[in-house]
Amino acid sequence: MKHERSTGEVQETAALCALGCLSQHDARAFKNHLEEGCTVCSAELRRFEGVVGSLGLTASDAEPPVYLRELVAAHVEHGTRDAVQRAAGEAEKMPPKRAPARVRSPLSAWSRVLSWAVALACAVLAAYSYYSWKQSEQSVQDRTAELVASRSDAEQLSKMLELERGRSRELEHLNAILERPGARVLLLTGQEPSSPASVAIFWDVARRRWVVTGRLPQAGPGTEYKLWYVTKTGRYGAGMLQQDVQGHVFTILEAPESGTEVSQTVITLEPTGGSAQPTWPVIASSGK
Amino acid sequence: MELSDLIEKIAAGEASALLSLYDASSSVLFGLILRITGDRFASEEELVEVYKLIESRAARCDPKEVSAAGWILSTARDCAVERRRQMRRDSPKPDRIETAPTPSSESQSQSTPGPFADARKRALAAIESLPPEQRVAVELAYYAGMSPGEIAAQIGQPRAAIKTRIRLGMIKLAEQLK
Repeated sequence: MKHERSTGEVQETAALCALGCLSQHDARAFKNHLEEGCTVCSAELRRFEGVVGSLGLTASDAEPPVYLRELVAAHVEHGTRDAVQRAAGEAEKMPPKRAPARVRSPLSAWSRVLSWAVALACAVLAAYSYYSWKQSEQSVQDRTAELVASRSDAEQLSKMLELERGRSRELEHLNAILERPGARVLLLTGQEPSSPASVAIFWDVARRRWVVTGRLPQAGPGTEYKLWYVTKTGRYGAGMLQQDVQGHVFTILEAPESGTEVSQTVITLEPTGGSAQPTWPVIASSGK
Repeated sequence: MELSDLIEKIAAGEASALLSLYDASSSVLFGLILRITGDRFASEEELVEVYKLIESRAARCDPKEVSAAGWILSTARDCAVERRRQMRRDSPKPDRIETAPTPSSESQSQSTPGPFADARKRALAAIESLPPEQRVAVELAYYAGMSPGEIAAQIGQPRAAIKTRIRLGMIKLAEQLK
């Protein structure tokens, strides 16, 4: 059904279509409607397409890196060479015009030589174009590979930088604790001689904080490390430990109340979410 | 040389005209693509693809239907929005609200390449004249390629209200840019 005049609904559909924001179903239905020849909708769509064309100018300019122009220039060069190559190829395919065998004037003999010379020149030109094109293609591939490698390096460096920043923040925490009066350090080592587990608890007595840092074997799927402490009155869970992908542990937990005598600290592997009592193996502990 | 002349030459197979078009428009298109994707690496890749696309589609640009500047900007915008959607599919995360401050008409007119200077001045004045809620809806649809439903979910407003804001905003822009 064609519209006789523009309505709010027509304007809405046309505006969303121009912005490319209609669902696939609605866009198809609107396209079919336009193909039926609705001039009202066509005019509205054209009006809003003009707006969409201008909206891009509301973004700020940004200068692209120089190498992008070189890539476009290389693309342009390929296009030109391809055209020459195609022309040369077509010239080669053309059947040679033979002069009648009976009459061989000096001019036709000269023409024959000339056509062979042209064909030969075209063949040489085509070979040279192909060689140059391959060279440029290789050059573009090399640049692309360099670009990919540079990006990979940049990402790697970015990750390392983030890691170093994290370590730096950790050290600031530890230094702040050690500078406070009454600070203590509890050391936990692995249960087996070959275990890489080595954890230290920096006890900020004044602020009742435990900063736990060190290295533990990577916890398997569905498991997490939990820190426990033992006093005269019992065994208590201090909290779950956060571990990064490299096995490094850094977690800030609430410490026992001031004056509590902690006789032992233990780290166990627990199911994700923890448990009220240690259920899985002891991975590291401080001496009794 | 006018942008429309360059497009015409590209359509006629004059490959070097593409480089002239690049010189005349790359900073505008790169700025647009960068704002849409929000990713510099992706924008660099996309810019080259846009010029290849312009070359292959130049014959379809009808100066009677649309301005050359509008046509290349729309081509770049469509590519960039598609890239943005692909990036969101590959790495789903909450969409940013694209309400980055638009440069004022005075500050941009000096740095804008010649063929775009006047049109930019008018486009900036037009978008600045919209009420904030209409401007946000139009910008999210244009820069993030979001549907009215997605915009409604993003800013916590009814879908019908978003559609109305887009309609009213686009009508006002059309009147200003006439």
